[in-house]
Amino acid sequence: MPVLSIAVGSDPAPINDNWVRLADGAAPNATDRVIVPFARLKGGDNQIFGAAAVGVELGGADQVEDLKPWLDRLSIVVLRFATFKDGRLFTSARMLRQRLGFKGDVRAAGDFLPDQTAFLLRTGVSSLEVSDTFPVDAAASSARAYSVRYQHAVDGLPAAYDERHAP
Amino acid sequence: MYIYDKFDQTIVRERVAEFRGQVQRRLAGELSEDQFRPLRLMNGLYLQLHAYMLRVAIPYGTMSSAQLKKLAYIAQTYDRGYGHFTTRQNIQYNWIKLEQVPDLLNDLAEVQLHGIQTSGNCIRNVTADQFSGVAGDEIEDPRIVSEAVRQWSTFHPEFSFLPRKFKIAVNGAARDRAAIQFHDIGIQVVRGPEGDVGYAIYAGGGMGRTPVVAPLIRAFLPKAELLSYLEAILRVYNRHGRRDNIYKARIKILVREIGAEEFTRQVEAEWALLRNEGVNLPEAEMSRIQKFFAPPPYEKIAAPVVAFEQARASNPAFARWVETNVHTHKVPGYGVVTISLKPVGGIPGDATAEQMSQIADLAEKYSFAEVRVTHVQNLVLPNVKQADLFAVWQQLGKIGFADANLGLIGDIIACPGLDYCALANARSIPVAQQISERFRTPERMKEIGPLQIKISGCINACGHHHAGHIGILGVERAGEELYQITLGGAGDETASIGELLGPGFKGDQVVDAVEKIVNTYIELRQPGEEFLAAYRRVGKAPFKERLYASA
Amino acid sequence: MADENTQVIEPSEISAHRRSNKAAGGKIATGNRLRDGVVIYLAANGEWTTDVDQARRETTADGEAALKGALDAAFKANYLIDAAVIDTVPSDTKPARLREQIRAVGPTVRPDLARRANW
Repeated sequence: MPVLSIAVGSDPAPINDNWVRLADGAAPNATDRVIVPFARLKGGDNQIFGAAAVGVELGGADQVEDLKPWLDRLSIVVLRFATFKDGRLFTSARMLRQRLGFKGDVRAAGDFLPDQTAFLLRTGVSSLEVSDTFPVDAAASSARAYSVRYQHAVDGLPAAYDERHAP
Repeated sequence: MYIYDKFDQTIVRERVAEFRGQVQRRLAGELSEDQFRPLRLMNGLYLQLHAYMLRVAIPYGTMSSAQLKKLAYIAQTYDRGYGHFTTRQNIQYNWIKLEQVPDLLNDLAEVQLHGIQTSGNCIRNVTADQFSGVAGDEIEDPRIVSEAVRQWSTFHPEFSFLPRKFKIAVNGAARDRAAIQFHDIGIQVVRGPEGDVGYAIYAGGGMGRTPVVAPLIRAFLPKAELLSYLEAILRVYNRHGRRDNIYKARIKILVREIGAEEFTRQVEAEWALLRNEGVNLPEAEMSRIQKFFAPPPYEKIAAPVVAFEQARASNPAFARWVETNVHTHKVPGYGVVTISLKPVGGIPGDATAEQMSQIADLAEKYSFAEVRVTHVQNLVLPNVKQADLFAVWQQLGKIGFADANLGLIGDIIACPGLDYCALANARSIPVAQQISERFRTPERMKEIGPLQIKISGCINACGHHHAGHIGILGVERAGEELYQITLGGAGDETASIGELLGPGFKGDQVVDAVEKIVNTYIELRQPGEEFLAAYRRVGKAPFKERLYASA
Repeated sequence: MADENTQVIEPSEISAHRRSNKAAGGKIATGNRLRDGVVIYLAANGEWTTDVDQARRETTADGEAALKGALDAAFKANYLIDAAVIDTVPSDTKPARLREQIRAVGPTVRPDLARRANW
């Protein structure tokens, strides 16, 4: 599936993604960049770390704190929206960045809406896995819809109150 | 009141532009209804029985006369000449065309109004005591913190897709006029052990099919830490609130299922980390907001105000209205006027464009250009000189809003019900109309004394029936409207949930049933004992007996 | 004050499980027009009408299937939303349920805004 990188101040841009989903029970090739379900990490399967790079996929019900033992060996965390309504993943993204200090790629996948791109960006998501028919323009307008924010978030942008009281 | 600066204004303008794009995509077929529905809901746009309904936020129920004028203009230009003030201190319009909504929102934005987060599974418009800043029993104006919460909750990136809607209310006085314990979070301004101002926090209250009076989860929270504490509550709820069943998704169910103690423990644990993560509002911003709520330039007025006292003495109708609808102002020589939007036989909370416009003029002329909306669906002119009360009352009489029934049996809350609402099972408004007709005379209302009737047309309880001294819930049984009656609910600082009396009544029997309840109360009350107190003393048995004896 | 998102109900399901007690009546197709929200009915001539008296009434399973087909097509064409096949009383297009009668006429508390006389 196509992947778009998202970042503050630039439009979503296609990136050449070479992550692969590792089949259940399969051993990775040393040259592969593999993404595994969280259950496989928790199961203590260390052979996956024989891959060139390792990532994990979380659903809404997964607790990001539980990633701690592996986090420094992970290059990507995929957050899968079973439905766009599953707002738990915004918390997951934000905690990954702010609480756990994760520096790798945080990728949204699944049923999120292009109109949620602004929120994804603010909570620390850095790429989107999308379908071929995904309306990139709509995601781009969401990303640049707001030039002012009322809260601090992961994007490091000033809140309105910072700008109001800037020296 | 709070006035937007360029930052606030920019956000609202950008919202209009974003929604205009979304509407265009929907009309062009680029968005399906499933995709569009959450987007329009987050802008307060519903589909009801007859048309789209737009709910416009009136933050913590305070607006300027210019804003009310604009609401009148919207009613005239985009609707059928009227609007409906709601129990969340908002206004909704019933006949909206989707294709016109972007222009409508653009017009609203000119006066700093919008429909942001008046629906959807997000933090809704924060509500507050309608007497904020003018009541004598206040520790601090709750609108200061309400405004801070408004900003913090607007487009919160983490909390815009919660398990369900989320409602916050703030009260700053000893008397709870904001029903805070029926909210997802209730914030009560309190004084701490050292006399410093802070907040008591209640969480997990609500109405709907599972009414709950919120437990206190923190007795004192320092002022500066409010937002991080709210964020901790929201985070625990967002992560652990149920998403498998829409009827169990409100925070009250989470709090009940894990227990208030465990919930509090989780919130405190989260807060211990969050409070250092840059969420709290800087002191400078809090004082900036506070300045907007400084008292207006009141005149020093010597008591008594002779003309006012004379008018009261010579005109019993005016005197009655002053007694019921004018609340004591903290400044001598002023009064707080509640305009009852409950004329006999009228539709509770409805006002025409002309009425809104006239009230805006009155506010301009007599009340420092400020108007409030109450959760009981009335309007308030918070700062009227006693010397002007007679003129205000006369003007209100001309537009049909001089009824002296505040807090009395005619001051009924009613949701739109099956006349408008797509979710309703039964009509609410006709029941309210019949009751107000039955008890129409001032003498009868006065004889009965304070009595709150609240009517909902379905179990979602938008009409707050659980908190009614007499609550009426409309249901559908075998294709017919049926009304269940509860007694003993209260939405004040003694919050309680009404108890069901027995089998329901058909539409044409409800008023008789209410009258039997009222008569029973009058017979059994002790001298000076109000309905709620009497009910709490005797319980439901005498009422039940009387109501079903001859049925 | 009602909450549209309180319940997620497919409108056609409403008609299936909430309006099925009028077996002797007929069926008509209704929805709200996307662009302005106005209540509309499928008319006998295949057009959409705001007048319930012009609605195409069906009394057979095939007829009801045709109504559903028309609703489905109009929904997919982004012409209407909240599509539903609803029950009528016997031998008239008057909707069986009070809710649908109110949709057809207007709020009972505002006769001045009524779209037609009440039945």
